[in-house]
Amino acid sequence: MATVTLEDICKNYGNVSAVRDVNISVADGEFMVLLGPSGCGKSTTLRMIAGLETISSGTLRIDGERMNAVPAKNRDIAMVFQSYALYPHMTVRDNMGFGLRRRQKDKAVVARRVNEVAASIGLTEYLDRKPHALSGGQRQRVALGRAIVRDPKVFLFDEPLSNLDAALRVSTRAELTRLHRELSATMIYVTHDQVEAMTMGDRVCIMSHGEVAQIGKPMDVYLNPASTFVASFLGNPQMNLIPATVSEGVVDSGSGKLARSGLMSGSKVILGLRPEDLAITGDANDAVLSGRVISLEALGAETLVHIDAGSGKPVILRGGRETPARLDDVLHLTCKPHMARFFDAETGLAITPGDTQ
Amino acid sequence: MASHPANTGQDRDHANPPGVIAAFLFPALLVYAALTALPVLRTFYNSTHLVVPNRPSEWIGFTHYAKLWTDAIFWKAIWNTLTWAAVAPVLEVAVATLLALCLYAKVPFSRFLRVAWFTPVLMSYVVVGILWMWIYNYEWGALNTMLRAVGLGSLAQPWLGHPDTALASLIAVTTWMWTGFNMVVILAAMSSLPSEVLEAAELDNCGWLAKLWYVILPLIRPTLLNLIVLSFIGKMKIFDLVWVTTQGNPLWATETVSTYVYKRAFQWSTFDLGYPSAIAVIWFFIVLAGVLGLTALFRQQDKLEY
Amino acid sequence: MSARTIAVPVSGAGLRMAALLLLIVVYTLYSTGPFVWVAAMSLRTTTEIAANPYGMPWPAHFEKFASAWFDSNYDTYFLNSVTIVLSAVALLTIIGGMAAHCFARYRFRFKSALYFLIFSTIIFPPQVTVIGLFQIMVDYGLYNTRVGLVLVYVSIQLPITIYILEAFFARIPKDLFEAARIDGYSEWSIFWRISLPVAMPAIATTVILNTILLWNEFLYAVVLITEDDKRTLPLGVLRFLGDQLEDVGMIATGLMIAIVPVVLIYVFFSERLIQGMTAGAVK
Repeated sequence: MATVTLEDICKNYGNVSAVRDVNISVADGEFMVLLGPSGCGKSTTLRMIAGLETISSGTLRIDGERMNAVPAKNRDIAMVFQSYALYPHMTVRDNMGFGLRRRQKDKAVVARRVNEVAASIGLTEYLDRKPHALSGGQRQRVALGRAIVRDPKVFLFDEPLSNLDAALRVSTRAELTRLHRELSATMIYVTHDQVEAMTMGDRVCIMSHGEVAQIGKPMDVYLNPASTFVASFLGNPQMNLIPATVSEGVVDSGSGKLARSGLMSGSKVILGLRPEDLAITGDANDAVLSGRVISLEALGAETLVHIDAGSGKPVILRGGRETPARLDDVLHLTCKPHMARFFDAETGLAITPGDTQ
Repeated sequence: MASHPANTGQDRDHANPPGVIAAFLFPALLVYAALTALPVLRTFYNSTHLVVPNRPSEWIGFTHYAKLWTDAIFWKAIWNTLTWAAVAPVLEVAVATLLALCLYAKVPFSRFLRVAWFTPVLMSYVVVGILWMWIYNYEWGALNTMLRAVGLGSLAQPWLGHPDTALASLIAVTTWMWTGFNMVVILAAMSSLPSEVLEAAELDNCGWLAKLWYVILPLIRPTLLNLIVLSFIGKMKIFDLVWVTTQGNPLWATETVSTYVYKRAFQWSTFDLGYPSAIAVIWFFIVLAGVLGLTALFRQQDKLEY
Repeated sequence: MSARTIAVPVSGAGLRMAALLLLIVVYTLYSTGPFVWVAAMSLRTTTEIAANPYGMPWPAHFEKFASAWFDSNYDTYFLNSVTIVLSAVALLTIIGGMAAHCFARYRFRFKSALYFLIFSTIIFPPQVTVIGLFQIMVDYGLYNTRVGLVLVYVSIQLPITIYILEAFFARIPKDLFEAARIDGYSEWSIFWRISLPVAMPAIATTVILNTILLWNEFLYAVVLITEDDKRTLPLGVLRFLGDQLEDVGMIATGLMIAIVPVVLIYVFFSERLIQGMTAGAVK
């Protein structure tokens, strides 16, 4: 197994900069998720690690060794592609064994290894089929098996679940997590799906516009987003972001107040409140936000209440099934003070008030 | 004509009104019936008759076919055409694959080269034939001039005038003409291969040669076979080039079935259209068998699906 | 794209590239050289060519084109070719378009059988039609007429035209036709105002393809046309070759007259032409 280090990695296509100054260090056996909206440079970063794209500048190290000029085939990595990229003219057995055979391994060794892996991921009975005779989920598993057979230093995944239906995605997620535990291998996983990132990653690296926005454990990132971008990207419905002004230890959201010292008086901030941290209160003086209910979404287990608090976008509260709210009610909302987050109104970066945490 | 919607009866199929369908198909079917189907039937009919101008056709059974059996020129023509149809497709597709790989490897000006190499196939066989008659000319043709220039003057010869080289020389002309065409098709097939599969091969430790052999060629196999069949059909029809250059000479060395049919029907003063029709019918079945045979031989067990 | 960016030691790559470039240059000379040669000869007199077949066309004898055009009947051949080819192409577009629209749009009995019947003629060797066709044309009084040749040209190009257009029509979303039907369009105006305009790219492809192929057609022309003033260009060029076998310079000029229109079309529509020519080869 291996460590992977990216130092100031950049990728330019002509004058267009796709990836800028990316620094990531993946520990041995770690499951690192690269998360971001499409076009944020996460796939390009992965492909640079694989050797499928050249690195414009910066240094890529695998196990401390510089890899920039090493051809893909010599990096000892395996990749699972979004489209699976199975060889359509080969059987499952040949698909899985192809990489090992190309490395001049003994035939018997290859056969044994393929059988082993096929058994471990439930592909034994399909070994003699060709890809077109398999379902999407089975193809996905062949792609996975093909990577495992190689026993590479690093596994790379490029949105491997995005072509599966919802139910299969959930079960495959669990299986990938199990595999990661069993193989204790270094894995780098690209996705735009925050659920995959939250559930599978040891750490998450959120990217935006070709740059790293934040790296950390999934829950840490969720609780303490480094910027309004991360705050709004992670979480569904996303974090409420309300422009507010600070005066004398009080944050004024326009429709309510929150006591908080340590912020510069007179500064403009953005107040970040997760929908699940908001609660309805009868006391208008207690409220951090107030407004009229403009729509209600009863989802069964929970209810989403959209409130017009005069701050531009509606504020969303996530309540239980029995949330006492009706259309056109005027509601007052409170929050647990320690769950409120603050961002600089200009830069969007998180501000830590002097007296807390 | 077809501009009226069908009657509005309850059970009429409004989406597929029969009258409209018939009207749309009528001109094409008329042309097809009068100028394709009828002539073919007429040829079949001819083949069992003595067809002489100004006299009713006379039924003679399979006399023509029996006579064919001992017609040495007919057999020579069959042999020449089959040789052509066997050699040229393989040559064309092999060279074309090589050229396509060159352009696939991202050489500079590849767009221009693709267009340039395609040019010969756009010319008529008449133009190409005359051009190559000059290239093959013994005294001042380009080929012999070049041979003499590099000191191989002893190899210079009247390429189209000698029975041993005439057919090969003409096969070379069709190869010159069609290779670019095949190249373009193969290049298109290569370019449409899913890039992820090729990348996967790279990660599986394939150099470019291994990638070509294990992945690219197997994946474009259907295209290659398709081109071979297409080229085969084309060569079985070949007429213009031979007619312009050698008219089957010397000593029937380049006689093809088409030229022989033409000669027997319109040139020799036998005035009988029955005999050449019999040749045409036989040839029709040989081509059909060839196409069906090739298709069966090349049939892919499974479809390729990515 | 990036599949081909394999990092290799520089010297090896350089060497391979050099070999590749050499091969490419040689093949390019081989495939286009003959045209350059004939173009040069078309501007030189036969005496000049006899002195040196591979000389430069200095001074350029452009008057040879005028002489071929007026003195050797090329004006007639050219005009015949233009009228016959353009008429055939126009008819093909309408007739083939109607049939293709019908195959793509409607369901009816024997549809696939009919389609197969028409399309299978692509493999027919021309020998099997040409004799019967000759007899039929004589019977109809169409032998040795330009109208007859036009009709024959329509019949030989019909299958490929229907094939290309049908494939394109079938990709036009069905909703478009249903919307038109609801808007009260007749079946004919759906074809005329929706199918044809939307399929313009495919129509252009077939038009260019048919123009080139028929411009070059020889077998049916030689069988069906006998009089000199009805000859098309390929026949004219060949007649000229028969009459003036030794006048290489003038024959080259004649060849250029036949080549130039094709080259012009190719220069402007190369992609579309390649697309049309290869349409039958790519599945």
